[in-house]
Amino acid sequence: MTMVEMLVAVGIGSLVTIALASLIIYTARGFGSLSNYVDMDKQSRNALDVMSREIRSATGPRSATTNEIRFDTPAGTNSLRYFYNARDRVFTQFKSGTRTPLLTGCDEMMITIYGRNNVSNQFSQFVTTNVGGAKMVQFTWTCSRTIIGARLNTESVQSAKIVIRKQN
Amino acid sequence: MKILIPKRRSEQGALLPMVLFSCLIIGITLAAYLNLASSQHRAVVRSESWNSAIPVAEAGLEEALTQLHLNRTNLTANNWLTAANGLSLSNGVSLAGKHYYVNRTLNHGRYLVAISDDVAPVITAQAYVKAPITKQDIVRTVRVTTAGGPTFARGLVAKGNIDWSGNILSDSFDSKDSRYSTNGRYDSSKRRDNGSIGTVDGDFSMGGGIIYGSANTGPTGNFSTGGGSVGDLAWITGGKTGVQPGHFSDDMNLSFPDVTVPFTSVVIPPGGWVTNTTYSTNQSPIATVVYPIAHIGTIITNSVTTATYPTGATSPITTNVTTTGGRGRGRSATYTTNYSYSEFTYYTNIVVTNVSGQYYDMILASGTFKVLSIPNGTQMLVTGNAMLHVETDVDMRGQSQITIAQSGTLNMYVGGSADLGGNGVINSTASATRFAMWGLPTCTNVSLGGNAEFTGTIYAPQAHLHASGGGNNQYDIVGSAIVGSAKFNGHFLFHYDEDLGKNGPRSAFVVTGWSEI
Repeated sequence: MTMVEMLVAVGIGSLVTIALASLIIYTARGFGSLSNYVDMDKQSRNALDVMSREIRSATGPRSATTNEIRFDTPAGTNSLRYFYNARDRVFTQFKSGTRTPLLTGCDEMMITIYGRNNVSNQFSQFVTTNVGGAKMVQFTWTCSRTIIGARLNTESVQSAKIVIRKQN
Repeated sequence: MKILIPKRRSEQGALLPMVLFSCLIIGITLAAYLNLASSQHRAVVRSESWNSAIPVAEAGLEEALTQLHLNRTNLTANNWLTAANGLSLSNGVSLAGKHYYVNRTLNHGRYLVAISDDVAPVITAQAYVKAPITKQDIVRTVRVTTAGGPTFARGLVAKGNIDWSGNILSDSFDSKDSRYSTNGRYDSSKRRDNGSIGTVDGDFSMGGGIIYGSANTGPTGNFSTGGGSVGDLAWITGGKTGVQPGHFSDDMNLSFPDVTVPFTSVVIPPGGWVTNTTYSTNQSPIATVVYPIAHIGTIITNSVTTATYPTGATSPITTNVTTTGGRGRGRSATYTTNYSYSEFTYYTNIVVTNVSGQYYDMILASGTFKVLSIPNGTQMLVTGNAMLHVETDVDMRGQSQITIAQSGTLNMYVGGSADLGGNGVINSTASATRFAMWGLPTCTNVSLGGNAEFTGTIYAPQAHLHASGGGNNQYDIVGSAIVGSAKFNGHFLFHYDEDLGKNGPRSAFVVTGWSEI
C-alpha cells in the first residue's frame, strides 16, 4: 500500500465515519422529536378528552378570563375550574377540590367564550362577554419541549370548541 | 514511499460485517420509527373511536327527543320496545322502572336509547363503537334530563323586526293567582314585570314605550328605547327611563316550527239560535217578629221595646208599668205600659230571570271543524273543546265576534290572513289558555284593530302582526304572541298572562341536564 493509497483510505474512512455519525445524531434527534411529538399529542388529546367530558356536563360558566374559566356543575357552584399558569407553563383542572395538571410545557393558552347564536351561514358562533349567556368554550394552546438543545413544538396550535349541552 | 502490509487471509471480507452491522443499526432504527408511528396511529385512531362514541350516543338522544315530541302519547311507535321492569345496559348501567327503548345500527357504530316513563322523561343513550385492532366495543353512556318548556314564555316574540310607535306598554299578570289579577282578569294595580319582548333575528324599536320586564334581540339586532323604559316594577314606577341593568340581552335564540293542522276528520260548524238565560240576584233585609225557621243563613236578633202590644211576637214578651205622681188623696197617677220582645232580621235573595235569544253563524261544541273562511260579520260561539281549521282568511271586522263561553276552548288554525278587529275575541273565561290562533305557513298577516279585545295566544311565525288603535281601555291584548314580525302603533297595551307559562301549550322537550355516566 502506498502512502497515497493510505491517505485516500483514511480520507474516505473519515468521510464515512462523519456521515455515519451525522446520520446517528440526526436520527436520534428526529426520533427524540417524534417521541416528544407523540407524547405531547397524547397529552393534548387526553386534556381535550377530559375537558370535553367535564364541560359538556356543566350547567354553565360562572366566570371567564382569557386564562381562567370556572363552571357550575351538578356537583355545585364553582365546582369546576381551569387555570393556565403562564409562569410555570401548566394548565390545570380543579374539580371538586381535586387538582389535575392537564398540560405541561404549555407556552400559550387562550380561552374564549361564545353565545348560543350561530353566525348566519357559518359553522361558528358569536363571541360573547356575557358569561351567563355563554354556551360554548374554545381553548387554544401551544405546547413545546426541548430536546438536544433545540425547542421543538407540537403542531403549531391545538384548538377545540366544547359545547355545554344543557339547553336552558 | 511504499508501505508493504502483508495481507492475511483472515482479514479478507471484513467489509461484509461492517455493512451488515450498519444495516442492522439502520434496520433497528427504522423498526423503531415504524413502531412509534404505528403506536401513534393506533392511539389516534382509538381516540377518534372513543370520541366518535359521543356523536353516536347523541344520535340516540336526538331520536329519543324526536320520539317524545312526535309520539309523546304513544312511545312504542316506530318499533320502540317496552321494558316494564327496568333495563340492564353494558358497563354495569341499569335503569329502574318502566322504560321505552330502541336499538339502532349506524355506519360506524350502534346505540341503545331508553326513555323513562316519567312526566319529565330521563333519556339514557349508550353508544357502541369498534375499537381499532382489537375490534372490541368502546362503550360510552350519556344520560340527560328533560323538561317541556312553555311555548309562550314571553309577551311577544318575533322572528324579525318589532316596531312600536305611540303609547305602547307591555306588562304581565297571572290570571290564576288572585294576588296578580282580579277575578282572573288583568288589573293594573296588580301588574307584574314579566312582560318581556324579544326578537330573534331583527331590530327592536320601542318608540318610547314601556316594558315591565326585559328586552331581547339576537346578536346582530339593533335595539332602541326611543326614550322609553325597560325594567322591573321599581325601575319603571320610579320614573326611570332607559334600560335597567340586566334587562337587555342580545343572545335570544328560538326555533319557530311550522304549524300543521293536527286533525283530518272534520265537520262544518252549524249555526243557530241560542237562548241565554241569566239570573240576577240581590239580597234584601227582612225583619220579622216570628223566627224564620226555614231560613238558611245568618239571623240577627235584637230586643225591641214598644208601647203597642206586639201581636205575633215570639215569647217571651215582657211588660212594665211606670208610676208617676205623689202620694195621698187628690193626687193622680199615670201608668205607661212598655212591651219588650225579640225581632229577627235576615236576608233573602230576590232572583230575576232574564231570557234572551241570539243567532250565531257558527256554534262550535267539542269536536274538529273546518270552514273555507270566516267572513266579515260572523258571530261565533264556542261552547266546547273545539278545533277549527279555516282554510283561507278570517275577517272579523265590524260586528264580528268570537265568543268563548265558560265551557269553551278554541284552537283555530288559519291558512290565510287574520283580521281580528271588530268586537274581537270575547273570552268569557278570561283565560288566555282557552283561545289559540295558529297561523299555518300561508298565514302571512294578522291584524288587531279598533277597540278589539283579544284574550288568547297567537302563534303565526310567518305572519306580520299589525296592531293599531286600541282606544284608551286597559284591555287590548291579553296573552302572548309569537309572530314573524310586529308593528304596534296607537294606544296598545300588551298584558302577558303568566299562567300560559305554567298551564299553556308546551314546546318540544329540551335538555335540562347532560352527564356522562
